[in-house]
Amino acid sequence: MPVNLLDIQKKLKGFGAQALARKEEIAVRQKEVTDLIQGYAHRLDELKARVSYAADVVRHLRCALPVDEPLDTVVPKPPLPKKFTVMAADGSQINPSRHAQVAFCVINVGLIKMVRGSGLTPEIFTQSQLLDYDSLFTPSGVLISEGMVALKRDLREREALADLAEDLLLPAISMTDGPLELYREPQETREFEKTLDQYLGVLKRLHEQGLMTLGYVDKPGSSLIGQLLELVELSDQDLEAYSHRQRKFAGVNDVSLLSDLLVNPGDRSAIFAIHSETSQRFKGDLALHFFYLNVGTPGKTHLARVEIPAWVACDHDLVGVLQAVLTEQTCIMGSRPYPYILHRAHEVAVVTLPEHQHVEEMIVAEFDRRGISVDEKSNKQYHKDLDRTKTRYQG
Amino acid sequence: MFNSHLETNGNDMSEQTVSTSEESHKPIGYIIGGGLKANLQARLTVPAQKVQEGAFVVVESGNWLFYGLVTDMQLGSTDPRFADEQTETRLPPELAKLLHGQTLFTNLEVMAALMMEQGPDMNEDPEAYQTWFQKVMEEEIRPEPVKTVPQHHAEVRLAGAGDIAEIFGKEGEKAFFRIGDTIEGGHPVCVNLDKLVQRSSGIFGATGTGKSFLTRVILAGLIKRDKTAVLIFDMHNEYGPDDTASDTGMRVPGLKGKFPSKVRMVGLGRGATIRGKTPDYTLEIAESDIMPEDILMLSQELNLRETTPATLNALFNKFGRNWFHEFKNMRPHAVQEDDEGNKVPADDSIEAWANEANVHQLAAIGLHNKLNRLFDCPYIVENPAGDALNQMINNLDNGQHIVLSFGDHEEDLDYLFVSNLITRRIRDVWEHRTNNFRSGHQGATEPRPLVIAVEEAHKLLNREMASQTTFSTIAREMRKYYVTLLIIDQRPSQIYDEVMSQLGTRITGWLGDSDDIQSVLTGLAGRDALRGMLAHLQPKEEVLMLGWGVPMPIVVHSRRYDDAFWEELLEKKDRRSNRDILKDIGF
Amino acid sequence: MSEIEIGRLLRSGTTGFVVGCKVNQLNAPSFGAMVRVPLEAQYQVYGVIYDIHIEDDGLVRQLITAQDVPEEVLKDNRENRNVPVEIGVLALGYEQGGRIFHLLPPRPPLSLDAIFLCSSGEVAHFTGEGRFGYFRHILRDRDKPIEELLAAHLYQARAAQVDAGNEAWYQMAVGELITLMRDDYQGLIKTLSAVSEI
Ligand SMILES: Nc1ncnc2c1ncn2[C@@H]1O[C@H](COP(=O)(O)OP(=O)(O)O)[C@@H](O)[C@H]1O
Ligand SMILES: [Mg+2]
Repeated sequence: MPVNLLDIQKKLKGFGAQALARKEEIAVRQKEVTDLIQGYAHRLDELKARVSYAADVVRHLRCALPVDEPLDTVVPKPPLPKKFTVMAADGSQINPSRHAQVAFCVINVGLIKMVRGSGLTPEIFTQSQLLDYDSLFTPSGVLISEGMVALKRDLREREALADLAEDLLLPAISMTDGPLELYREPQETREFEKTLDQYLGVLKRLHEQGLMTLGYVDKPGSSLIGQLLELVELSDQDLEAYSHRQRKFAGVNDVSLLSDLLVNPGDRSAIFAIHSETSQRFKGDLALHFFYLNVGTPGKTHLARVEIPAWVACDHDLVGVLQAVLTEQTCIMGSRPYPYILHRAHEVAVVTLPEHQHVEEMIVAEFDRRGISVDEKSNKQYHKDLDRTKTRYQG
Repeated sequence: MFNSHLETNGNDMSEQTVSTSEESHKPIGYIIGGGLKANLQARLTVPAQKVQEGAFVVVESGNWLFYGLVTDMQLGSTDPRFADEQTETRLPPELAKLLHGQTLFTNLEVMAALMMEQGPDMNEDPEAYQTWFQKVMEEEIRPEPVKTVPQHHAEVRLAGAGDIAEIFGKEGEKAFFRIGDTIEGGHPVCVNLDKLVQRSSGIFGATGTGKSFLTRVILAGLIKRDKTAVLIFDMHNEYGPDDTASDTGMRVPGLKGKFPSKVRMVGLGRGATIRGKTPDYTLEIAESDIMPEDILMLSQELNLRETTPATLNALFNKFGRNWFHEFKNMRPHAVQEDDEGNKVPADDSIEAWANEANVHQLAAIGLHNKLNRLFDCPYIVENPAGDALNQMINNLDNGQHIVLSFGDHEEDLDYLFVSNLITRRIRDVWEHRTNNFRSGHQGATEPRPLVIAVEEAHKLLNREMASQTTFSTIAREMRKYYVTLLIIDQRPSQIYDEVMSQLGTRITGWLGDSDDIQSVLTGLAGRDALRGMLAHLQPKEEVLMLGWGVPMPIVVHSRRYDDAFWEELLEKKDRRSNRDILKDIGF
Repeated sequence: MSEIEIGRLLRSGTTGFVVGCKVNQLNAPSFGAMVRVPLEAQYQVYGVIYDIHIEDDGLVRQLITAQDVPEEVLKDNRENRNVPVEIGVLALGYEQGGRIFHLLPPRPPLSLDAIFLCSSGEVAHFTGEGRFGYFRHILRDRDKPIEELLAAHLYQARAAQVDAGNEAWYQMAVGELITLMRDDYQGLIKTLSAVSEI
């Protein structure tokens, strides 16, 4: 028996007790933050000033930044436009691997474009990109990291959307999974900078084409609002010692704060800007904003965080369209809300194992043709490949 | 058989065979079981209604053809549920038909009677075919009794005209005379007239089944063929003169009208007219022709005592051939006075003779009383005008035929007495001639065969009478003395078994009485099967032919006795024989 | 030769195979239709579709819980998505060197072989050969809805045979079926009931 259940059983009681205690603690803190939201609901300027003060003192400060809506704002879902375009892109990748016979990387992006109200079958595209062999290695000669590949993938997703953005029926909304903001692998600063520049360029193109873009964050664990209100609770002295590792309102996330506010499906919260180090790079029209949206069903609130650039955030009509469309998209998926179109983009993008192997074989064949010796598969990979389920014909 | 081969040759045969060949060569089933002891079983592949009991079928198996009769038909199913469920109500007709075709079936029981070797294929081996064909023509290859069984799945088909002709003979050839047609297909069925009269034969059937009509047909055939003399005891005046059918009111031509010079119509008694017509001549019986046995034969009819033979014997001893005349003239109870004036029996009294002959007086008187009916008979005379009996014999000798019409003398007594007496006389003559001929007497010629036709035969041939009549002797003798019987009767069970079993050919219409059926089948194989067929015959004009004289039993739709029959028999040219036809087409 | 490809082979065995296709390819094949799989020159396997099933997947199951599904989404699912449609085919025989055999194919088709719908002429050619030997293969598997399958097959084949001028084929085929099934009263009656609806 791989797991000794007796050992686990012994600890189970204590484990449960700890969880309960922690939950109770968090509940107390959450009450505090909720009260603060009420208290500061309209004191937006104070909050903005506090953030700008804190930005100078606190390293790596990351928090929400009110714009012009009160903190406890609830905007119900406006009606859906009769006709609109909704698009999504999602990527998947074959990461370069030490265990494979040859090093290669494929980024596969699936796209789907649906014109709602047209009755037409949505269009589907895939773009598969075999990365240049040279780009597989860092200057120090090792294979690029999976994080780096993910970054390139995120870029490809937006590029693909921009490539499709011609002659769109407006309003048009495009989305990708996850935040609009990019995260950085610390050791690859140079490459990151380069990719981020390209990324910003694409976002700009999307803006020019009038294609709204959003990043959809399902089940967000972030506590950007809690972090904002922490700033006003802390004295200036404490602020200097503050770090996001040692937080006052730890465990109180935005979703739990807003769940009681955004009770109706389609309700959205106030729009905030994001203050963070990277977000500083998203300037002007591209500045990063977000709001929370109840994509749940009546009686079952489910909040998602929606990240949008400033040019959308500032136009409340656009936000209204976006809010309605997103609500519909998540509604299509019934009891497990998630934008249908995103799910489909993901489906299209997924590289299956047979496809993976097929591509690898093609590359090995090309290497053979050119007399380039290829490594043996690592034993680890060999066994992984064996472990496949097959179905037998049984009449 | 050879017909079928010829037909495939595409030659223009007589219309009859050509028109029937196609139909009859289609199989109606195939053999699925059976054996020599039990009948053969065949699965029917055509609707049951296309085949009837008694149908004549042919089974082709290897080199052999088997000929048989359908004796039973049974409904069967592959699973009883297919029979139980009325699937036609659940399925469209087309499907139901297909389903039933395969799950519901009819089995035929076939009584195989004959088999015959088939010839080789004419096209494959013309030489062998020629040899075989020659043998068939020369009758070296003939149908023979079944000694083996056909193979499983051998095809069964209805017999065609060719098959029937092969077995029963071809109409117009030799002695073959069409007596009717098969039930299925209506192919002609012949009897061999020569064979028919070679032994005594019988025509049976309940009243109204067509015995008399069929007898007319056969008699006409015999007279036409002219190889046999025919003597008909026409008790009811049916055969000689024209008649009117009692049921249809149609005119029924008599033999006399159709064969005026060949047929002599003889009336019984001086001045007799038959249906208003004067016969060719009349027959009177001379008293001296009557023998004691002629009287004894009438024991039942006259209710004679056991003492009769003794009395007759005494009479004959005393008076010889005059006994009848003398006895007739004796006066019963006549007395005369003797010398002493006592009343004693008169000299011409019966008593006187009885005393003298040592015969019981009362017995003699009783006999005399009973013979009064004969004594009063106008056709019994002391001295007949001419010797009509001799004339009849002469006629029969000379290629003529006689219908003895009883005119008004329609009582059983007349019939029994006259027919027996005449038959005895004639047979004696034939026996004498035969003996002369056989012993090589100078100038002795072969007697002309004679057939004596008797209606109501059971009156002459019943158990009590059989030992006394000449008829039973003739029946038993077969053709030893060139005389045979054609008996016509509605109650065969009353005919003495021994006589029945001697009958060569039996032609029987429907019989209602199981005893009658039983006795018609006496001494024949396959009685059970035949019994069923007999019981299921149509009540009229359908007969089952069986016995030694026919190759195998067969049910026949009787040939109609009407104007057309006569036209065919008398005016039309004979149908061409096979030999002629074959010659024409280059064999 | 018809060139209506209905899908590609997923898995196979001697007695039959499973074809995968997209939902939007699904308007061509129908239950009881005959298919062929050309394997090499002069050799192709014939079969009959006995099962078409559309597997569900997570998304489809999820969509079912939604209140209403926009038309575009419906179309997306039917036409774009690789919802696996599995078509079960029963092997009926094969053709080799121009000769039809109503025997199980010596070699089954291989993965990803293309499967084509038989044209009317091909149906007539295959079904008209010999004496319905291929019925054996259909009747063998009592787990399958053979009554319905036979009815659907007869319907298609009859039309093909009539086109080919063989009007008597249908009667002979039903006759043969009855012969083969007459020991199975229940099965036969069920089959004929089904056949009677065509
Ligand atoms: N062969 C036949 N041809 C014409 N009519 C016949 C024939 N057989 C029977 N019939 C008809 O059936 C009736 C009875 O036939 P018949 O010979 O008098 O019967 P049976 O002598 O057996 O009592 C006849 O009056 C006649 O109408
Ligand atoms: Mg009569």
